[in-house]
Amino acid sequence: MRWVALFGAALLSVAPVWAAQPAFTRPPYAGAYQPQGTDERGLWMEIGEAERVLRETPGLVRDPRLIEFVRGVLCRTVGRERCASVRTYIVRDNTFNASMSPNGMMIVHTGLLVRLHSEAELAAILGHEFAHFEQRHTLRRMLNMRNGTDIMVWMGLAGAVTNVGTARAQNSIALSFFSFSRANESEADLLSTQFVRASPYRIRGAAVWTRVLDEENADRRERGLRKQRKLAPNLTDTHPTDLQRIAFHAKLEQEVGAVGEDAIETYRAATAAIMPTLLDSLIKGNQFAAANYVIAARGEELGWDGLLTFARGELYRLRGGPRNLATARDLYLNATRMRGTPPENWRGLGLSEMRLGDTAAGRAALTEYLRRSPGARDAASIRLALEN
Amino acid sequence: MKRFRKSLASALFATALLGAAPARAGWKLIPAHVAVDLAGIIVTPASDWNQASARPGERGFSWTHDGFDLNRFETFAAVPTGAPLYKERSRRSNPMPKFDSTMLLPDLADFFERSFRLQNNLSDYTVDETRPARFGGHAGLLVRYHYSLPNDELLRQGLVRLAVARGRLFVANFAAPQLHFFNAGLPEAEAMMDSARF
Repeated sequence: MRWVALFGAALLSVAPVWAAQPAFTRPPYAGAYQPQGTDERGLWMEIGEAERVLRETPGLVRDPRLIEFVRGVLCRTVGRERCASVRTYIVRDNTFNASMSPNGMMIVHTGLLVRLHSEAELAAILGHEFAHFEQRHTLRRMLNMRNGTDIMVWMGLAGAVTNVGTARAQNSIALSFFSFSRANESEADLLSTQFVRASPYRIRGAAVWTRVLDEENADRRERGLRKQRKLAPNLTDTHPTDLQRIAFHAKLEQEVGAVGEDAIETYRAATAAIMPTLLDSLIKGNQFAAANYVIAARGEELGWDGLLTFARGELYRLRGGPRNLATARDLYLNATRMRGTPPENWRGLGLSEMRLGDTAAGRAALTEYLRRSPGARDAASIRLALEN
Repeated sequence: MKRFRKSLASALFATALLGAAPARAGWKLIPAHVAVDLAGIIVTPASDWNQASARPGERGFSWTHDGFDLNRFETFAAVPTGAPLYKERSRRSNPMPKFDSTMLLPDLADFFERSFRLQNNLSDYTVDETRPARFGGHAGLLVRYHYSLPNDELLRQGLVRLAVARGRLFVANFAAPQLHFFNAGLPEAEAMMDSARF
């Protein structure tokens, strides 16, 4: 990580807002903000309606223990006083994302949960989202954009009346919306690290953003694109670049040292029930290299178990082709000797063997699948495949 | 005489302009009880359907009664090895899974699931049941599934039949919201799948 530290010095000079690090106590909390005025109350009403719809969607994860676990991590990060104003929702979505609305609705995507390895990493993300909420960034951004677009329109009118070109001035206001957003993101990063430092967790922001960047680069490499190497954001970027965020967090980690807990095992235990579904959804997305990276990163850091090895086998089998089927078969065979291997592993093994021409081994594996999972949803079609 | 010929010529010209339909017309009405050949599958609907002008795939057709959000009947005929089910929009950044004639029935279920997930950008799709079934007079597979679209309150259900004949894939898929439309439309959809021929 030394190269990251070297970058850190260079990049921090680009963003003076990160220069001074305050002490690690949480700032006093003024309580949840109540909307003032017609426009703000209108915004709250719209968000409230969106929350009502969200509560009814079938794609919402309704496991109370998982929701309580995520809420618990948030409370440990930002403190009991603050987390009382938050409602937590977990949504089935493969993208790595979490968001927070001005009315206290926090949404966590399952794509985030499948990519994180510990409570400390989850704390980094949730702390960042809560910081947006506390600093009222959505509200400020709405007001900023409304004022800015008002000015743009009046400028345009004045320019038309006086026959003066106003496009460049209007463009610079439009670009200021993006830099306002970037400033908000940097502010949220700063506040979130204060939260984490005051919590029992270790600062793990750099690890998260490094993996996000590596996953994206793996995806880009697969698609024949150049790697992402952005050291400074574009004018229209809404966030600082991944490299900037990695540098910011890495420098902080070096200063603070290895203080705090990761809580890897509790994270694994809490997400164990939903993890097979999340891995399944990740594999059946359309990004082979990205999914492969996520699974491999998890395996390398947390250890390969039967579930991860099976998941990787599925990834290769679904890609198809003789070489991938052979790789899949080897992975499934490895998984048969590990702990935590689901019965579907023998289904995948059997189908791979049959596609590769080894009918006897295929039949044996499929029979074993039916033995381990007699009530399987596709038992009837597997039996038919065995009969033919 | 000359004036008559001129007006006749202009009348014919006007008729030609009005009568000339473009080579690929828009939406089409599929009348009830008339067998129709959909690029290789012969289907006889029991009621009138609307066929969309945009096709879901090179070998596919989409029908609806009340709009695709409420009922959707898709057929794909004679998909060859190496071809995707739905249209592949970008081979580089979003490749579709390709059919392979060496696929077994369970592989076909996986193939349909991946294709359907990608086509509709789904993160929430669950198989309820997979079992052998006849389709078009051939031995095939039936899959019942349910799914939901992001930020959408409706739970949606689907039933698809797949079969391989002469090395090519034939598919008929019916999907609708669980609230009223799936159960209302399922009997006719299954009747069309039972009576389909290829």
